[in-house]
Amino acid sequence: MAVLEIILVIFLVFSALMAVYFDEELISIIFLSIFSLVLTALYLLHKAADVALAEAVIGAGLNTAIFMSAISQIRHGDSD
Amino acid sequence: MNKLMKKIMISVVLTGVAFALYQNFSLMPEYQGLNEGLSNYIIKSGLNDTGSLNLITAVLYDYRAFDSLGESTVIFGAVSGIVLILSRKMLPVSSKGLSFIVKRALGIMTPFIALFGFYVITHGHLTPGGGFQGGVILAAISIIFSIVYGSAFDYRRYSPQTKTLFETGGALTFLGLGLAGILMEGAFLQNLGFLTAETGTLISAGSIPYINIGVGFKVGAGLAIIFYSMIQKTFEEDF
Amino acid sequence: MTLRLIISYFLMITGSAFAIVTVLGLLRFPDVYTRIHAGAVVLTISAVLVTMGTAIYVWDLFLSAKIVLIGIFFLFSNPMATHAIARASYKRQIALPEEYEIDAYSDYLGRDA
Repeated sequence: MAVLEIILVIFLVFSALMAVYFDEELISIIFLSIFSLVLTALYLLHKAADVALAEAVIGAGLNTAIFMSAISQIRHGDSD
Repeated sequence: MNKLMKKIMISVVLTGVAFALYQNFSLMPEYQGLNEGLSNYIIKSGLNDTGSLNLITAVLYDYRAFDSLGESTVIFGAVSGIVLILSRKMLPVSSKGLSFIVKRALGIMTPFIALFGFYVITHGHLTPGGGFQGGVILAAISIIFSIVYGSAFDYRRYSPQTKTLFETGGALTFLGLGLAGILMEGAFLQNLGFLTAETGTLISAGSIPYINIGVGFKVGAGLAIIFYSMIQKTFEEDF
Repeated sequence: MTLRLIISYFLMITGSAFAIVTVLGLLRFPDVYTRIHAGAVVLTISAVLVTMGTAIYVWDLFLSAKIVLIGIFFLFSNPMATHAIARASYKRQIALPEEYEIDAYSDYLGRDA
């Protein structure tokens, strides 16, 4: 169990770093979604089912959709 | 004259609020030493106090219900700000949606997603879940309509007026249960005693399931309004 | 160790093996469409096998029914999402080969908008 937790924490830090590292917004959003999924698995490992459900639904589902619509609005604008 | 009336009205309302707050605070119990710690107290006697099997829901909507009211006020503020900034008073024009296969498959799956959302909301005091999580699942249905069938379909099915009605209805349910707590039990958002039933059944745990339903509708409709006002003119090309 | 547990462990291990094959395919295949193929076909059967194994492992009527419903959800949603991704990348002309003889899908594009 401790090995699984260590692997998940390493993946968590890796996905957060990748989300900051990439320049393109779409890849950053995908890595944020992966970050939320790994965080959900960690919450489930510590038996916090309520927080895991909230994180999966809000972090992986809703945030991705809202960020996608936000960046598509940025691209349609004439500001740059 | 008009200003004077306004000042009198404001002072009357403030006096009433101050009186209610004083009455409420005078009801607070004396400080009792919790030498075992608060979490131990909740784990031991949370089931007896609230009748809710899921202790997290018991904390969220009974012990700390006032904090949950503040959180839903934060969501209300976010929805108001985003709608104020992003709504452009234009007819909803969007894509024609995805292909036939996706439309047909999601037409089969969407009722089950709605069923799962209502399950998570109404079983919040028995299993993991609750108002916030189930509300976001309900908001996902509106997002699916906007993306897959185009936002005009979403406008025709659940217009923004309907969503506003759901949101304010949920908030009013929450506040009404709080006021009922003052009238019947003596404190704001106190758990209503006459609604308790046998532990473990669907309708039990006092007012917790009803607060769950109110928060679920409020959060779901609020997030759907946020997404709809963001997507209005964006996804014009179809995939 | 009854027969039921053996069957459930067998199903779960088979599903995990299919998941490993999925990851290998996603890493090794050259372009978008073949990777999508690996993700669609193998991942679906892997998820369905794991959920079936879990349903047999818990062996309670309502719990097993809920887990089987999750498996049916996978069976619907995964091929549908894959189809949407493949169609979008075809319409955007992402990673199309340089020269090909038959383009059978182009007849179907405008039909179901």
